[in-house]
Order: sequence, then structure tokens, then C-alpha cells
Amino acid sequence: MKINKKQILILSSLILLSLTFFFPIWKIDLEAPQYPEGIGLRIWLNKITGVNEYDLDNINKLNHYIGMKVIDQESIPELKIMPYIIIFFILSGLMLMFLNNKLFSATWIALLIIVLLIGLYDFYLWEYDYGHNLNPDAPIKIPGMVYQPPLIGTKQLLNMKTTSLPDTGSYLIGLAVIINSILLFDKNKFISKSFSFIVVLLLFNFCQKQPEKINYNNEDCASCQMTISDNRFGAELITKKGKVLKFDSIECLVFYSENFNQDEIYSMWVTDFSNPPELINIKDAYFLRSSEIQSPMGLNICAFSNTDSLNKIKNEFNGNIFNWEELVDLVKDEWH
Amino acid sequence: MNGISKNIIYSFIFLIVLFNQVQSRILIVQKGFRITSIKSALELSNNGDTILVKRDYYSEGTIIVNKSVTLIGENFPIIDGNHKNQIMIVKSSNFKITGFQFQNSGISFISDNSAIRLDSVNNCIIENNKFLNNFFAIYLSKTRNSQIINNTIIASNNKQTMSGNGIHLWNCKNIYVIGNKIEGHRDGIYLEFVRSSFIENNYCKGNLRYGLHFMFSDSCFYRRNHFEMNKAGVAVMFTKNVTMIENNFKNNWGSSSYGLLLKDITDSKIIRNKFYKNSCGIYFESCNRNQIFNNDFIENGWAIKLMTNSMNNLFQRNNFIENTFDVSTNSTQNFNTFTENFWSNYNGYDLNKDNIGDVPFRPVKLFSFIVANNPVTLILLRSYFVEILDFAEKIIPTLTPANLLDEKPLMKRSYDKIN
Repeated sequence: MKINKKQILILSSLILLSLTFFFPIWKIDLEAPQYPEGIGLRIWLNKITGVNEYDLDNINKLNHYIGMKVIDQESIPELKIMPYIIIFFILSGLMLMFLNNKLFSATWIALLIIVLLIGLYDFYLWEYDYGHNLNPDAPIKIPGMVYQPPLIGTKQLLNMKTTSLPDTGSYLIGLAVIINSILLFDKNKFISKSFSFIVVLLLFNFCQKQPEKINYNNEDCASCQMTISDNRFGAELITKKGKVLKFDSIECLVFYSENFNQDEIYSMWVTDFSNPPELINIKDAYFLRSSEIQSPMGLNICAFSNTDSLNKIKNEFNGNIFNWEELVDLVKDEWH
Repeated sequence: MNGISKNIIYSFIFLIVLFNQVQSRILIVQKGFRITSIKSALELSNNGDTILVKRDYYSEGTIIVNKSVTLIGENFPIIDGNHKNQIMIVKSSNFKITGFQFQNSGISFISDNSAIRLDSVNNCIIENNKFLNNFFAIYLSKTRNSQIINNTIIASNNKQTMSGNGIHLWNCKNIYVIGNKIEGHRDGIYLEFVRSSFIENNYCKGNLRYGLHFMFSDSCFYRRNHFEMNKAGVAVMFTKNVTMIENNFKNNWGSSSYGLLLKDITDSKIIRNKFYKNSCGIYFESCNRNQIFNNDFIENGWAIKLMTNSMNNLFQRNNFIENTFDVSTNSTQNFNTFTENFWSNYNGYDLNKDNIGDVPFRPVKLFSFIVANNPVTLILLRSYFVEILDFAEKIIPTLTPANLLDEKPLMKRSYDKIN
């Protein structure tokens, strides 16, 4: 029996599916002053765990105060069913490998997507249930307050910043869907490409952490403690946990990020000098250093979203163009 | 030298002075007369002339001064920038301006538009003017040996980001900033890369960020200034040899407000200042070898917040009176010295009557230590539980820095000075 490229691809997608047993599919992280380390839940195919050893207990303790039900995996039937659903897809996927039937694979993909959507909706219902059905005898009662965590994204619940996002498992399933979709539309390169592009984009949007607006004159720079006040120079660093750190100048962001755990950094943002207070990702930014333009921390770095606006300012004020790596070296030289 | 030749020399000098007097003229600017605008007066004038401007309303775009003249306003004539322009740019030395009202300099995010800007000049004087609603009011760049005296600078910009600094010095040397009143700007007085300058008797109130803010400005002297109700007090960074004497830091209250925020300050003196009702009197981060003598810390939330990375600072003969926390720190290490301070929270005894308490005083309360690491716990302040904790810690210090103590706490408030 010969195995062709297509079958290898299908097989790899099934391996991805089977890997979902070993990774959580959803994560809920809570940020609160009383847990400086952070506290969080991980939802797996067949269980719910805490990020750290006692997180689940702690969350249940917290929930008890506001009258939420105890999160108990025994009481969630879906956790028992889900593994079987994935196993079903893996087995039927094996048939895909040898059948080579368009209709069959289309059905398989559609079914998988439908199951995913149902799963999401079901998850939402659970969240709704936990957030709304509160014990009337709870020690802390706030009229009109519901504690439903967001499905995807971040929400402030009392003093907790709750962030809910798909975890590795979801991405694995997503990848399996993409691989098989591409195979399905193999005849037509364009469709397959655009389709996969859209799926990737969707997935990317799922986990896109957006920068926050800087509240000028009311927030302090995370690096130098100065009050952030000049809206032409504000900058932000977003951690993988979704925490947003704000800076009064690009040089402060550079300095801080260099002394920060690189694996923790999700994205970094700087203000577009020609269009304040719009923030742009440092990947899309062009930097200029001109002694004629004085920045809050004295290294006089400003950022632009495109070379036209950069050159316009450069022609007026002179200065040198930098890229991010050069900025890092500059700040190291100047501030050490 | 005999009397006659002396007299001859004196009369010769007198003649020279007289001759010079004759050389310099006075030009009068008045609507309806020969010279009707400041610009044309400047064109007609020579170095050394005086231009007297009668009270009126002048709006002339950007006035560029490139002659050494004296501009005198009679009863504060108004020069208006119509929210569009820089109002006056001075490019020649030995310039003096007094008695004008500058208003509405334009807001620009590209260049720091100001009411009056001195650019690379020496020996200029800006005295007794009024500045209303300007983006930046007085801006000096690369200027030396100049004076900014008794000006009133007020902005009432409610748009927070639309505000520049009152007095902004960049890359200057030997500047005297004396007796100015500054309200409602971003920073009242801002210095960056300034050397050996004197900042005295200024009054900064209600500015959006700092009353005074300086960075990289070594060897400057600040005396008898008054900083009140500025959003975040006074901030001082990356500077050596600062002398701050007899300043008043008052009512700088808010979540991130400080009487004085010090970061990377070395070899400086902070003497006889008064810190009254600030969220935090002084915040020290990475500050080394500073002398903090004879200051009064009265009714602040925290009198002093001392971060671990500050070393070899000497706190002597200060008075700590009725502060919620006298000293708070974030580690169990201490490399600073506290001696002969008066602490109103001290309840030791003095058997030998030498005005020095017989038991050392530990200014760091356990609770302040807890709060430093976990701000939310502040809600427990003044609770019975916390009192017990503090008392226990006082008897057997375990968590607070064991060597952060005043071995010679004074029994009475000190009024004698160390210089």
C-alpha cells in the first residue's frame, strides 16, 4: 500500500487532534490584587484544573463568597462526552485517509466545525449558569451584579480582571480543520489559499490582544514612575497574560522590555508621532531620533507608521533613522 | 595717581557713558502714531535701543527679535498669538523684556510652541510679564547667563494633553528663575540638561503634572520655592549635586502623588524643607549619598518611602510629626542611616535627661511593610488587629529591617540646624 502526500497530511491532522488530550483547550485567567502571581483555570477535554496547585480551590473559595456554585468536574457531563467525540473524529478521519471521497471529507469538516460551535455555545451556557445562578444566602451580595466570565476576551468582575481565551488544544483542532479544508479544495489553489488565510486570520483575531488607550496625565510610567503626559510619545507592552504596561516614552519601553522576561512579552506598541495618540505595533513602526524633538526621557525617539510621515519630519528636523534593534543598543549605551 | 589725573579719567569715563546714552534711542510704539507695531519698531531699532510699547492690543504673528534691545510695556500691552503661532522668538543676546502680557500661543505637536522663546543667546532678562493660556510660556534653549524674574504664568487649559510647561529650560547654564508664579501648565518649571542654575522663591500651584521637574540637570540650587496641589508634586531624576533648601511641598495628594519623587539622585542636599500633607513626602529610588537634614515631615501619608536600591543616605535631625507611616521600605535590608531625628510616634523614655531617647526607635511599622507589598491591605489601617501586629513586631522585629532604626531619637522637636 502506497501512502501519498495527501494521506500523510490527513494523518498529521489526526495526530494534532489526538494531541488535544494532552493540552488544555480553554484558559480563564484572573488578575486580582490579592493574587499578585495571577490565578487561573485550564479546561481540558476531560477535566478542569488550576494553573497552580491550589488555584481551583482558591477560585472556589472566592466563588463561595459571592454565592457561585462550586466548580466540580463531576457535575459537568460534557467532560465525560468530549473525549469520545474527539475519538470519533479521529477514527472517522482514518477512514478519510483511505476513502478519498470529497463529500465524505466535506461532511467530516462541517461536522467538526459544527461540534466546535456547539461546544462554544455550551461553554457559554455554563458560564451564564455559573455567573447568574447565585446562592441567595451568599456573604457578599451586590444587587444587579452578575459574574459571568467573557467567552473570549477580558472583563472586569468586581476587583478581578478576567481573561478567557482558547488554549493550545483549540488551536490544534483549528489546525486539523484547516489542513483538511485545504486538501478538500485542492483542485482550486486560490480558494484553498484564501480559505486557509481567512481561517488563520480568524484564529489570529481570537487571540489578538489589543492595546488600551493611555489615560494621559492620570497614569504612571511602569519604568520611570513619571506621570505619562505627552501624548506623542506614549508606549505600551502587553504580556502574554494580557496585562498592559504603559510607558511615557519609547525609550522607557525599550529599557523595560530589555529587562523583562522576553518569553512573557506578547506585543509592544508605540505612538504614531504624526497621528497621536494612535498606537502602532513596533513591528510596523519606523523610528527617528532627532535632537530637535524632545521626548519625555531625553533620548528624543519618536515613531511613525509609514516612511512618508517619517521623511516629512526628518526633512524638517533632521535626525537619524533607527530600527528596533538599534534602539535597544542605543538605550543600553545611554542608560548604563 | 594724583587727584587731577583721577578727575580727568573719571570725566572721560562719564563722557563715554554720556556718548553711549546719546547713541541709544527710545522708540515709542503707539497706535495712530509714527510706529504702530512692535515688528516695525524692531526693524527701525539698533542694538542698545529701548522700545516703549503703549498699552494696546497687538497681534503680529511671530515676532522675531534679532537685535539687542530693551522692550518695555506700559501697563501690560497685550501680544496675542491667536492660538496659531509662536509669539516671540529671541535670537540675539543682551535682550530685555518687561511689562507685557503674552497670550494664546499656538498649540503644535511638532514644535513646542511658546509665548517667548530664547534660542542660543546670553544675558537676557524676562521680567514682570504676564502669560495667559499659552502652550509653553517661557522656553529657553541653549541659553546662558539669563534671568526669568517675577513673571505670572497662568494657563487654564482643561484639555489635559494640550498643555506645555510654564518655564522650560533645555540645555542651559547659569539661569536665574526667581519669584515667578505658575499655575495650570503641564510642569510648572521644567529643566533638562541644565547646569548651575538658581531656582528661587517661585510659586507653583495646580499644575497638571509636576510643580517642578528636572532631569539630567546637575549642580542646580533650589531655595524657598512653594509647590502646592500639583497633580504629582515634584520629580527629580538622574541628577547629581542638587541642593534643595527651605522649599515647601504642600498638599500633593493622590494615588501617585509625591511631595518629592527622587530617582537616581546622588550627592545632593535636602535641607530645611517642609513636607506637609502629601500622599508621600519623599520617594527614594536608586538614590545614593544624599544628606537629608532638618526637614519637617508633617501629616503625610508616608513621610518617606525608601526603596532597597537606595544606599548611604543620611537622615539627620528631621522632624517626623503625625505621619501615617514615617518610613516604609520594600526589603529587610537597609543601607541608610537615621540618627537624631524627632519622631512623634516615639514613646520611649529619657532617664538621663540629655534629650535623646534611651531606646532606639524603629520607624518601619510591620503594617507599612505589608502595605508596601500588598497595597489593598491599606483598608485595615488603624484596626485593632494591625495595632497588635505592629506592637508584636516592635518587641521582636522579624520581618522589618532590623537595622533600620534611629539609635538617638530626640525627645523634643529639633529647631537647631546642621549646615
